[in-house]
Amino acid sequence: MPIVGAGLSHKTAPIEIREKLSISDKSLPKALSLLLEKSTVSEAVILSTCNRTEIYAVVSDVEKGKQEIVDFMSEYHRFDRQAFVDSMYFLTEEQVVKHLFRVASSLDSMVIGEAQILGQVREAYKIAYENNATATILNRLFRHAVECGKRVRTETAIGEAPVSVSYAAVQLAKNVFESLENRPVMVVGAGKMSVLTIKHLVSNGANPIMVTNRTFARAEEIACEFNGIAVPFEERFKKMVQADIVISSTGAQDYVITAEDVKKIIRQRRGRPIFFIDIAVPRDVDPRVSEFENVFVYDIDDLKHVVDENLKERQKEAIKAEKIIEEEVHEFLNWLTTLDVVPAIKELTRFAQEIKEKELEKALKRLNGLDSSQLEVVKALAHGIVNKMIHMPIVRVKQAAAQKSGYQYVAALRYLFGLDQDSGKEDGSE
Amino acid sequence: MEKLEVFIFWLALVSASVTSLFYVRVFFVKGTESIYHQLANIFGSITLLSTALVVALQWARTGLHPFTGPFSAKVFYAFSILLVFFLFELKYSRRVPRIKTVGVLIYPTVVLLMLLAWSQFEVSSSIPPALTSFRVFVHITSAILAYGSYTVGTIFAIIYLVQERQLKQKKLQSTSQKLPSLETAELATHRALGIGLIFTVILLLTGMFTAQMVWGRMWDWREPREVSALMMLVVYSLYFIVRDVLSMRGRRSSYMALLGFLVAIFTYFTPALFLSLHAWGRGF
Repeated sequence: MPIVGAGLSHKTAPIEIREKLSISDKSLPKALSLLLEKSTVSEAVILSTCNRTEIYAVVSDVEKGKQEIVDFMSEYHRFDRQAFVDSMYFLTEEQVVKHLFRVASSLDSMVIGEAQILGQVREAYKIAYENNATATILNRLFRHAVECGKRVRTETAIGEAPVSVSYAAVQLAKNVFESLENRPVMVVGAGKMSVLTIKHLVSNGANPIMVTNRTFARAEEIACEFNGIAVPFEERFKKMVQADIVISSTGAQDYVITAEDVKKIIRQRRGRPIFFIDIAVPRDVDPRVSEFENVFVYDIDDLKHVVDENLKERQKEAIKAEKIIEEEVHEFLNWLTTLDVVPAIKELTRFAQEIKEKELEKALKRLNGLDSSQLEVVKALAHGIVNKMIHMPIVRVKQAAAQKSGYQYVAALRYLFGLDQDSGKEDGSE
Repeated sequence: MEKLEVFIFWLALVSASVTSLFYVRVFFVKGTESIYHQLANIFGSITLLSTALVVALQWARTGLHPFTGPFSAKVFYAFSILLVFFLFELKYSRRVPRIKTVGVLIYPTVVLLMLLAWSQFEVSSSIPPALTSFRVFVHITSAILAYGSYTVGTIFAIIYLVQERQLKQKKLQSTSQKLPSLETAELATHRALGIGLIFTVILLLTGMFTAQMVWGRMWDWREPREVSALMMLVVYSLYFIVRDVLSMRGRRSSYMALLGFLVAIFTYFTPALFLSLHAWGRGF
C-alpha cells in the first residue's frame, strides 16, 4: 500500500491560492470523510496551516490516488483545479516520509526552527485519528514524525536563538538581568516596534512600564494599554533613573538621549546596570553612551546583526537536523518494509504450497497403484521443486528488506507472483 | 580504613572528572539535552558526598581534626569549594537555573586540586604537635574555607567579565546564554567574597591569639605569611569599598576580585617561597 503526499506550501503557492485551499480544524472531520470516500484512499491525514495545505494518504494506486486527491481539493473548495494544480507537489513513498519529517522538524518552515509546526502536525494527526481516518501506516508515520520533530528540537539548537528583533532584545536583556520579573522599563517614543518589544518584555514580567512621548496623549494611550505610567517628555531623565531597561524609538533627528544625560543617570543609579534598546532610525541614543561602564546599548543594526547571526546558526543546526531526519526516515522505511515482507513471504509460501498440493493431487489420481516408496519419491519431487523455486526469492527479499529501498522488492515480489490479486484491501486497524 | 579512604578519594576524583565532562558537554554543545544536566547533577552530588566522606574518615582517624598534612588539606580545600558552590546552587537554582552551568569551571578546578592532593598523598594519623590545639584547628579550617569561598567568587568574577565583554562587543556566543546573567554573576561574586572575608578575619584573629600563646607575640612584620594574609584581607576589603562605597560595581570590582585572588595565591605559597614560621603549612 503506497503512501502518497500532495499539497502546496509557501514555497510553491502564493497566499491567494493557499488561503483558498486551507481547511480549518473544525471542518477537518467532514473533509476527511469526503476524502476517504474516494475509491483508492484507505488512510488520510490533512495538514492545513497558514503556510501549507497538505494531504497524506495511503492509496491502492499511486496515479489514481493523486488524481483523486486533486479532485477532492477541487470539489471540497469548489475551486477550479487548473488554478492550483500547477502549484502542487506530489510525493510518493520515501519522499513523503522525508517531507513530513522535515515539516515536523520545522525545516520546511518559512522561519526555520519555529516551534508551532510540530504542534500543528500533532493536531492534524490527532483529528484524523479521532475520526478514524488513519490506520497502521499513517498512525506509525505521524507518531514517528512527531518523535522526529521532538528529537530535532532537543538534539539541535534549531529553535534556540531568537530570530526576531524584539525577541532578540528581550534575550539580550536576560543576559544582563537574570529575570525580567518586576523589572522597571521606560519607553521613549511610541512606534510600532517599541510596542512589540514592550509586549515581549511585559509577557516576561517587566513592571512598571513608564511611557514618555513628545505628545503626552500618545504616551498616555500606550501606558494605558500596558497598565503603565505616562511620563511627561521633559521629565524623562528624572524617571529614567528608576528604569533598568530603556526602549527608544522616537522620530527625532537628533539624539534624544545624550552621553551627558546618561552620565548623570548612572551616577544616581550607583552602578546598577542599564540596558538601552534603541530601535529608532536615525538613532536616539548617543553611541558614546555605550562606553560607560554598566551601560549596554543595542541599536537596530546590532539587533538585526544578532538576528542574522542567529539565523545563520539555525542554518548550521539545520544540517545536523537533516542527518537526524535521514536516520529517522531510514528507520521508518525499514519498519514499512518489514510490515510488507513478512506477510508477502507467508503468502508466497502459501501460494506455492497450494500449487503443490493441487498438482500432486491431480498427478496421484492418474498414477494408480504406486507402492509406498514410489509415493514418497513423487511427493518428495513435488516438494523439492517448489521449495527450491521459492527459496532464493525468499532469501533475497529478506536481504533486500533490510536495505534502503527494500520495499520496492517486496512490491515486485507481490506483483510478479500475483500475490496481491486475491488478498484485496488489507485491513490495517491497529 | 586506609584502603577505604583511598577508594573513596578516587571515587570522588573520578566522579568530579565525569561531572566536569558532562558540564563541558552541556556548556559547549548546542541544544537543550536535559539528560546531561541531570547526569552532571547526580555525579556532582556523588562528588560532594564522597569528598565529605574522605574528610570525615580523616577526621575520625586522628580524632582531633582532619589536617595531618598537604594531602588532607587539599582534599578539604576541594571540599570547601564544592560546599560553597553547593550552597549557592541551593540558594539560587530555582530562580537562576543557569547557575548550575558554572559547574563547567568549578568541577575542573576540583579535579585539579584533587590531582595535586594525590601527588602529595600520605596517610598519617599523627597531627604535627604544633597543630593539636583547638585554636589551630579553627585557624586552618577557616583559612581553607576562606580559600574555597574566594575560589568560587573568583570563578563568578571571571564569568562576569566574560559576559560583560561579550555584551559590550556585541559578539554573543551561544554559550553566554547558558551562563548566569551579569546581575547574578556580580551578586554571587559579592556573596562568595563576603563569606571569604569573614573566614579571613577569623583566621587572622585565631592566628594572632595562637602566635601570642606560642611565639609570645601577636604580630610580626617579618613573618611573610602573616603579612600577606593581611594583604589579602586589605585587598578583599578594598573590593567591598570599591563596590559598595564607591559604587563601582561591575567591571572594576570584578578586577579587584581577581587581584584579591592573586594575593591569595601568593599567600598560599609564602611558606614555600620564604623562610616562614608557617613552615609546616607549606602544603596547607
